[in-house]
Amino acid sequence: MATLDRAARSLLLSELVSGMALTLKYFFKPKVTLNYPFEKGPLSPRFKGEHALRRYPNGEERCIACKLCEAICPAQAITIEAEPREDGSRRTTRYDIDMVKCIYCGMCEEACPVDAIVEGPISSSRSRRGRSCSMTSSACSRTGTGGSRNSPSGSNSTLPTADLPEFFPCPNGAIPPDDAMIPNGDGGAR
Amino acid sequence: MAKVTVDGIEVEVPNGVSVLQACEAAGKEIPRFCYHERLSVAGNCRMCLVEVEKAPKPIASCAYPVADGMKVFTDSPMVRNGRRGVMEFLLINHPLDCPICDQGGECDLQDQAVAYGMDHSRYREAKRSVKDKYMGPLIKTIMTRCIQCTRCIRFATEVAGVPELGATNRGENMEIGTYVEKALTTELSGNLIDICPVGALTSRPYAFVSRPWELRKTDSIDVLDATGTNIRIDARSGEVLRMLPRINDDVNEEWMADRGRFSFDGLKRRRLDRPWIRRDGKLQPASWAEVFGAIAARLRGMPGDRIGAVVGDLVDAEAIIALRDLMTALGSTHLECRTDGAAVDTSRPDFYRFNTSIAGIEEADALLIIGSNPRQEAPVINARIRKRVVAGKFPVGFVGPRGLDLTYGHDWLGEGGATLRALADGSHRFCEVLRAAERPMLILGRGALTRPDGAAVLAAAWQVASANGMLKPDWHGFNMLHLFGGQVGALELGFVPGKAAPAPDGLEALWLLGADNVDPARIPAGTFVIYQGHHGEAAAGRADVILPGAAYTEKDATWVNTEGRVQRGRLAVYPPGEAREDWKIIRAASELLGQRLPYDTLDGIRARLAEVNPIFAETARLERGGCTDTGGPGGGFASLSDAPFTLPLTNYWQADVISRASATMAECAKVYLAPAAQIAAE
Repeated sequence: MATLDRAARSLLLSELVSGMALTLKYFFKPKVTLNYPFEKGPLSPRFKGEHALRRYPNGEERCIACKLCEAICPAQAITIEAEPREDGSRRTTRYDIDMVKCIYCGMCEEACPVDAIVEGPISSSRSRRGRSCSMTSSACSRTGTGGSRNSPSGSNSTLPTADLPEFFPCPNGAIPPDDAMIPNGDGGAR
Repeated sequence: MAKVTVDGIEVEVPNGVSVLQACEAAGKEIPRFCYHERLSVAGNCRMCLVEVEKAPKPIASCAYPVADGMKVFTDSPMVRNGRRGVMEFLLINHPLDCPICDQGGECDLQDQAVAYGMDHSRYREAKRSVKDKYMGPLIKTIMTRCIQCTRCIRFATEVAGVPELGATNRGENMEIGTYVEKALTTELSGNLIDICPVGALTSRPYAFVSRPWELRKTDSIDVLDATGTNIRIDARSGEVLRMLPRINDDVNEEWMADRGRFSFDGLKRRRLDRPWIRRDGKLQPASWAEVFGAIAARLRGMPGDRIGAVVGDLVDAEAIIALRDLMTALGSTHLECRTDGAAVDTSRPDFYRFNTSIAGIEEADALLIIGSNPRQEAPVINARIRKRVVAGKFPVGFVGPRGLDLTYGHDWLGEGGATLRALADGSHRFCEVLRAAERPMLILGRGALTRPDGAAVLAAAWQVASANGMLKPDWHGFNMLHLFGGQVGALELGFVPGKAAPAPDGLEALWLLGADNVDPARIPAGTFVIYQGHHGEAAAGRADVILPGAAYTEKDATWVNTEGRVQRGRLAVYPPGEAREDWKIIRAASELLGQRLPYDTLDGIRARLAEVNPIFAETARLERGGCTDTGGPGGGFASLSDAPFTLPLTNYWQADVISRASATMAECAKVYLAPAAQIAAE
C-alpha cells in the first residue's frame, strides 16, 4: 500500500507542486530583506555599538582615569594614560580604544564607576571611522626621551668605520622614527 | 616559651610576644591597619580582634601578650562579627573614591573591606572631610582618606627620628598633620607612602600615573647610595614609573632613601642615547661603526702606557672587569676608580669595607663617627644606627662639623684632625667610653679621605680602632661608609693604578667609564677622550667619542654595597635609543682593538668576576668575620693636619648624575636647601 502511495505522489509531482506553491505564496508577501547600508533595521535599546565618552551636562568630562575599563577589557583594547590636571583632579591625557581588538562585550560600560564610557547605538560596521578611536580630550604632549632623534645621521662622513662584531648587533641608523614607538600609530585620526 | 593553640594548631612562641605574632606563627592571617612589625604597637585600629577562650570580649591581638595554654580562635562568629563591625566604623568616614585613589589596587583597606567587611553600607549621614596637608614635594596627602592608624606618626618619630608628624584634636575631629605647614625634613619620607595602609599619603611624582596591576615588577638594587638597598622597579611599556624597597633584614629592612626612590625620572632626561663623535671640534651624532672606527684608528698601535682608564661611581662590576681586562690586554696600568680623590687603601679589603655589617650595628655597644654624615650619605644605615641608639646604652661620638642633626643624640668630640689624633693616641676622653665597650665600632666616611692628608686620616682611624678594642678575632669594628653603589665594586676588582705605574701625565688616550666628575680642565689638551656612560655632564663635553651606556635599571648587573655584599640587579627596561650595556660595548671595542676579551655572555663575564675576586661567586650573602690582622694601612698618621673635616655631600638631593637630571630632585633641592641658604645669607 505504501509503495502504491509513494508511486502515485511521484507521478502526480505533488511535492514539486507544494514547493512551488510555497514559493508563490512568498512571492506575494512583503519583502523581509533590507538593502543594508542604505536601509537599516530596528535596533534593540540595549544594542552595544561604538563607544562614546560621556560628559556631564556642564561640559565636564566624566572619565576619571580609574582604568577599570582598561583592566576589565578582555581584548585589551583600551589604553589610558592619566595625569593630574591643573586643578589637581585625575583626568586622562589619552584614552584610546583599538576598535579592531574590541569585541563589543560591554564590560567597560559595566566597570565604569561614573558611567563615562558607554556603547552607543552606532554599530562599528556602519560607521566609516577607521580602525581606532581616540577619545583623548586634550592633545597629548608626552614624548619619549629622545631629544636628539631628529639630528642628522652622519651618513656622508669621511670617518673611518669599523665592522661591528657579530656579538654586538646594531644595524646602522637603527633609530626608529618617533611615531613608530607609539602603539596605535594613527591615534587621533578620525 | 609559651604554648598557644590557634584554631586547634598548637604553636610554641617566646614569652612576651603578642597574640597576633603567635597567630602568624600558626599560619593564620590576622587583618590589621595600625600594627606594623617595625613600629611600636598602638592598638588603635581594632581590626586584629580575635577570640580568646574564657575572655568575655574579643581582644586586640596586636597589643595582647600570649600566655601559656592560651586558646585563640581567629575565625569564630564573634571574631567575624567584630571585624565586620570595626570595618563598618572605619568606612563611615572613609570616602568612596577608590577609582581616583592612587592606592586603589594595593590598598589594605580595600582588600580587607572585601575580605572581612559587609557587602553594603548602612550609613546615611554626612561624612567628615579633612583639609589636605602639605608634607613636602614628595608626599601627596588626601587626609579625608586617613583612618588614623598613626603608622606615619610612629614611623617619623621612631624610625626616621623627626618627630614632626602628630595628631591634633580627638575623636572624630582628630587630624594627622605636621603642626605647622612645612615639608618633612627626612631623607626617608618616601617610606611614609609605603607604610600608609590607605591612600592618605601617596607619592606626588607618581600621582595618577599608573595602576599597580599594569606594572611589570623587576627586582633590583639601588645604587644611588652605597647601602645596596634591595628595590623593586615598577615599569610599564619601557618606562620606569616608580621604585619600592624590598624586604631584606640584613641590608635595608624595608626602608629606602628618597634619592634612590624618587630620582628615577632623571633616567629619562638628558640621556646619551646615541654615539657621538667630535668632528671639526664639535660633537656630532654618529653610528656605532663610526665611533668604534675612530677608537680603533686612534688606539691601535698606541703604546699601552699612554692609555688610561677611569671608572665612575655608578658603574657595575661587569663593566669594570671588562674595562680592566681590556686595559691589561692593551698594556696599560693607568687605572683609577677613586674619582673623588679619596685615599682608599685597597691592599686589604677590610680597609675599605663596612666590616661590622649593617645588621651588625645592632650588636655594637659604642659608635664613633668620623667625617661622615650618615643621615645624608646612607639614610637607611642611619635609620639602623638610630634603631640601635633607641634600644639604649649606645654612646655615639662624632668627629666632624658641629651642630649636625643625625636624628639621634651624639657626643660632638671635635671638628677635625686634632680630635682624631687625640683619639688615636688614646688621650681623648671618648677613648674611655670606647674601651669600656665590648663591641665598639667606628664609621669612617669616605669623604674624610678626600683631603690631601687622606692616607693619614685612614691610618689614624685604623689606629683609633686598634687602640680601642674594635679589632678583635670575633669582632671587626672598623667601617668605611662609601657614597655610591659602584664604588666598592671597583675597589674589590682592583681598579687602581698598577704598582709600577709612573705618574699618569702624558696620557694620549683616556677612557672614562661613567666618570662624570672628572674635571675636564685636568685632562691635557691633546688627549683622546672616550666617554662611556648614560648621562653626559662636564666630562662628556670634553670627550672626543661618546659611547652611550645603560643606567642601573637597564642592565643585568652586579653591585657591591659598602659592606662588600655582592647583589644582582636585573634589567627592568631597555636602554634608550642606541645605548647598550656597558660591558658589551667594551667587549665589542676589544675585538676591534685586536684584543678580544674571552667572554661573550653574562655567565662568561660573571665567571671571570668570580675568578678575579671570589666574593663575586656568591650573591646576597655576606661572610662576616673578626679582624685577624690588626696591622694598619701603611704610612702612619704623622702628617695628619688639624684641618676640620668637610662633608662630601652638600646637596643630598642632587649628588649624582641621575638625580641631577631629575626634576623631582630639583624640586626637593629647591624646597629643602632654600631655607638653609637663606639662613646662611643672613
